[in-house]
Amino acid sequence: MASAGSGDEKAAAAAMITLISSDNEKFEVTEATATLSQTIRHMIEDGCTDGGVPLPNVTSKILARVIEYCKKHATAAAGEEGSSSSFSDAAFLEVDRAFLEELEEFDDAFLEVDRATLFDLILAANYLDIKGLLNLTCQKVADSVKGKTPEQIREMYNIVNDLTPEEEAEIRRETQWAFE
Amino acid sequence: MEDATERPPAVHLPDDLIIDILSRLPAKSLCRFMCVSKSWHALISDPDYLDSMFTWPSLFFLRRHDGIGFVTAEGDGGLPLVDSALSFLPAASTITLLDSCNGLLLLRCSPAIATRRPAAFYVVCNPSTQEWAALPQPSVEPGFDNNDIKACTAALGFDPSVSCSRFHVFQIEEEERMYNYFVRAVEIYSSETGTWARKETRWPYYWVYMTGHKTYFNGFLHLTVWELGVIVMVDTKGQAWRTIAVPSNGFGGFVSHSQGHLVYVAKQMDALAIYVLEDHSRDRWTLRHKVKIAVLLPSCLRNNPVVAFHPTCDVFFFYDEKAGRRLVSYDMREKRAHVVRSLEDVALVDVEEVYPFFFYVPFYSGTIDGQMFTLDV
Repeated sequence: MASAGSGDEKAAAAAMITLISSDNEKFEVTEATATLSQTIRHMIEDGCTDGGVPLPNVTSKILARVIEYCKKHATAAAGEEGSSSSFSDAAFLEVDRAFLEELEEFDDAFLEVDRATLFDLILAANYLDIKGLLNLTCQKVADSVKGKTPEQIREMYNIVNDLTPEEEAEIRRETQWAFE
Repeated sequence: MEDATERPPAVHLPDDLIIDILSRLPAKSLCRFMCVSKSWHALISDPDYLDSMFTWPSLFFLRRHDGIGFVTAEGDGGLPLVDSALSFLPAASTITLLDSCNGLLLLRCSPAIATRRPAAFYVVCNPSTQEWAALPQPSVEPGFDNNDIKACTAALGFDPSVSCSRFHVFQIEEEERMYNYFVRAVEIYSSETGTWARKETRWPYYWVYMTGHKTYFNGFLHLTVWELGVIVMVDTKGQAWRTIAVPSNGFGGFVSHSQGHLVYVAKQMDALAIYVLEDHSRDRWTLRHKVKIAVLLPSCLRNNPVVAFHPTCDVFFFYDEKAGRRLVSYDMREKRAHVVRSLEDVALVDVEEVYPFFFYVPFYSGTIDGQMFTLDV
């Protein structure tokens, strides 16, 4: 709300939200962390977060990882706001760069998970509407399949090839260029 | 995690997420993945997906001495999802590429000697869906030229945001006067009625000489002309004949459209000035970008080197004729040039004479109008 003063915002930043995973585990997070999720942000705006936010689609294992991501990136978002309002002299830019590099390292390490976890993270990011996380995880999958053959894709994702040999030959003939 | 290895994770992602992931892949990977399974094939070849989600590399059809060429930024062999060889067309002795508009091509086919069809005729086709329609004859034969009257220029008008099937073809009739050709009439074909209608020009100028650049946008064909300081326009019914003043110092320019606006590139002394028409009903151009030609090209050219605008990005394309005949893209936002492809090995028609580059965006939805004329083969 435009009418909300900076005092209110500070109070909001300190407020804690309880997230409840599908297996009934409770996670206490700051509002700044939780509102990286558009879904939760809307719930907070609608005032329906009292007594915790149940997330029936997200297991505690995945929710813990999502919160880890949100905590790190909420700090980053706060840092960005801070720096844009201050002088952008060389020292500040240097700090920003170091911080961005750290964030990149964090993201890389964060993505070091098995495929099933990666897909669960995609589903959670989609459900919770966390743009940054969805982008990060989808790009990771795209990078991992780029350059692979159809056989490798089937193996990676346990996909049964239900095309008849004739159909497959026909598609391969049409897309021959892509195999060269 | 234990049970995760047993289930196939891809199956658990909804289609929109799979599409999100696939949209990040280069065309080559994507095409290869069409034969992973039935559902992947269906997903990747879905017209809606191909039209809206998939990021196409920049594609060009080219007019060559010996026919039609095709280049992409991704490879030489064309895209497998586009029949760039136009192999679906019936045999003709010569096919000349005349225009490209929002996924359709306009061609002039000269009949093969074995066919009994007497004259050259127009074909409108969609290389992505392999649909084509041959048009009935206009009053002047396509490509006719007796040094007095000629009908060598034609343009295509197709706008999927208005109709996914309807298109118009404009055949421009020119007449020789004092060693120059001026536009005398425009004959317009409507796919809705299946007929041509010839209209004498009604611009406020009598001597309209085309410079060769044209674009169909917002229901009007726009032509650049010599000396008058205007772009001339005609609508698809041949009823509205308008002009738009070009930006000052903007003679000899290139006209196109991008991101919902008419764009005009003027070659000034040592720079290219890119103007955007914010309001199509008024002559008010906004200078959008200016770039020193020396930044783009090692040597100054006589002509405007711009050949196309990207329809959805802040990118235009120019042809670097001097330094190795290259097709280069220029990103106005990043102020960076990038070589799309060398055309050293392509027998392009003379750039000075005809306009050989046709930006192409594949279009999969919809079916074009037209009885499929059977040719007497």
